[in-house]
Amino acid sequence: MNAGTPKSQVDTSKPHPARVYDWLLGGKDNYPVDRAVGEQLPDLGKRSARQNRAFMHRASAWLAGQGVDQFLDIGTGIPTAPNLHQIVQEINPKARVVYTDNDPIVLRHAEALLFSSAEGATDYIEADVREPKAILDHARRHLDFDRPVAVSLIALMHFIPDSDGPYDITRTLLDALAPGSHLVLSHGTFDFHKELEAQITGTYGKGGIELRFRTRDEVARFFDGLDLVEPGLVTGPEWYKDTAAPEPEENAVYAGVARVS
Amino acid sequence: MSEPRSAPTIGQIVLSRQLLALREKAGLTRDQAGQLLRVTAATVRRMEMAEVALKVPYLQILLPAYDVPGDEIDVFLRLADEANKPGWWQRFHDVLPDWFSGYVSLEEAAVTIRCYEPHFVPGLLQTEEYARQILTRGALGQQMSDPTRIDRQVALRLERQSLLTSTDAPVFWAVLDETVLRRHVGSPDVMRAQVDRLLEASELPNVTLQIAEFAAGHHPGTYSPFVLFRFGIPEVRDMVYIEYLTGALYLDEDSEVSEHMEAMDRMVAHAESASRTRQLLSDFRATL
Repeated sequence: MNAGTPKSQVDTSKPHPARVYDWLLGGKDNYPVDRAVGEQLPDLGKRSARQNRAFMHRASAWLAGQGVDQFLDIGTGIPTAPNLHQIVQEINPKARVVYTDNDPIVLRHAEALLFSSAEGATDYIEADVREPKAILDHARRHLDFDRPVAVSLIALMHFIPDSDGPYDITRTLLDALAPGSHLVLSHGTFDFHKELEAQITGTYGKGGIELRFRTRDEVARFFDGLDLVEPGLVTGPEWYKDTAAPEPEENAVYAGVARVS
Repeated sequence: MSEPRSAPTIGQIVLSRQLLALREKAGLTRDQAGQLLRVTAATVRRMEMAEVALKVPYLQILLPAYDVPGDEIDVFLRLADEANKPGWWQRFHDVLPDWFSGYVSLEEAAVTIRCYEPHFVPGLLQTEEYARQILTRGALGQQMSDPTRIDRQVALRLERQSLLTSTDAPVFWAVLDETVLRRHVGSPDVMRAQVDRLLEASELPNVTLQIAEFAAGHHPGTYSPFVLFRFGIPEVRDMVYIEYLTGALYLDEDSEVSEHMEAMDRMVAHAESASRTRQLLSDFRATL
């Protein structure tokens, strides 16, 4: 045991989007700084988090049912059962899931808690979505990019400001995908709640988290060049396929699934 | 009025907290609840803190007064009966210190057990021989001269271990300081068998082991061992367990749990990943 590997710096003194999200979902893996952010958000925050999670469930289950058996989840966050691999491996036990997060604590949680079915596989990459090439390089070790892969960016891109090139990032990821692959994306919006913009963006901002919720047109750009799957780009509870319609509920999330042709 | 008893079971803790929540929801003070039972407010407090067992006749008075519907009262009473039953570990009452039986019941009830072990292999992963070495050398005073007592303690430890492979097995996630390997407990054979056991356990899907190497420097938990328990009930807080020479602490205050969780989280980020830890264990085994 020589030369320790260099350690990523972990700062738990500031709120972290993944832990705020965990708090919004009723989880226990958060610290007082994260709860402080969550408590200052309107009720809409909790509702949107729950709706967003439910969309991920429906979309992932539908894709697994369509025969997609490779999943690349970027910005995984704190594990919250049922997690993506549990959903898709229940449908196809052989499904392979690669989880990616840029936070070492979050990623270790994923490693310890997201264990795969015996036939399938889960793997974990510590990488930032701002380095899509690094993510792809690593993911190629576990997934076959000559076959369809579902890439999920769930409630992630609204933490990527315009200056970081969110559309270029998505483009780089999509360009690596074979036909039949899918993009699963959800994204915060103030389209329905202009009056809450200052409060919500301000609350995250005070905690040092830059929030960039986008309009419908801006979110639609992420799907440029892809075939949006019915029902298209809609709010979280409006996206469903072969399940009963979810209870309509006010929320601040756009959701969509699109196919790479 | 309150008979002495060992540490509460998690079931008792859960129900006690629930009783407190119901009273507060009903808008009654402890004094008022006490008047209903003809006991003092302090007795009500002890019930709500799980310091005494929940007596069914008391619950039959309190729950209706708290406006709990009849069918829910039945459920509560049934749970209270269950919670008051001693767990399997009570058979080992002669060797279990009072402060430890609480630990075993928490271990049984937990969905996640995270621990930091700076000195020894965690009890749940010890081989029989390793456990015997630790318990023999660790025994103080009277225990030293009583080999049957050691035998029973070893037996208890081994019985606890079936937890990790049971159908409802909890997630067990441990950070082991490099000291755990470096400090030899018993002969090289004992250590080799113990390292094999760790390697084998690390293959279980619900077990994650991470070694904090000396070379990586100190980390926020470099102080003392502790365990973080999580239970599958949303309302029940995580609990911290800290053991010392003559006793143990159970902490469930938000601020204390948060700080331990933060320390644990930073330790898992600092320590080697599960896959590299397996490599380190194999490498270490080769040096024995």
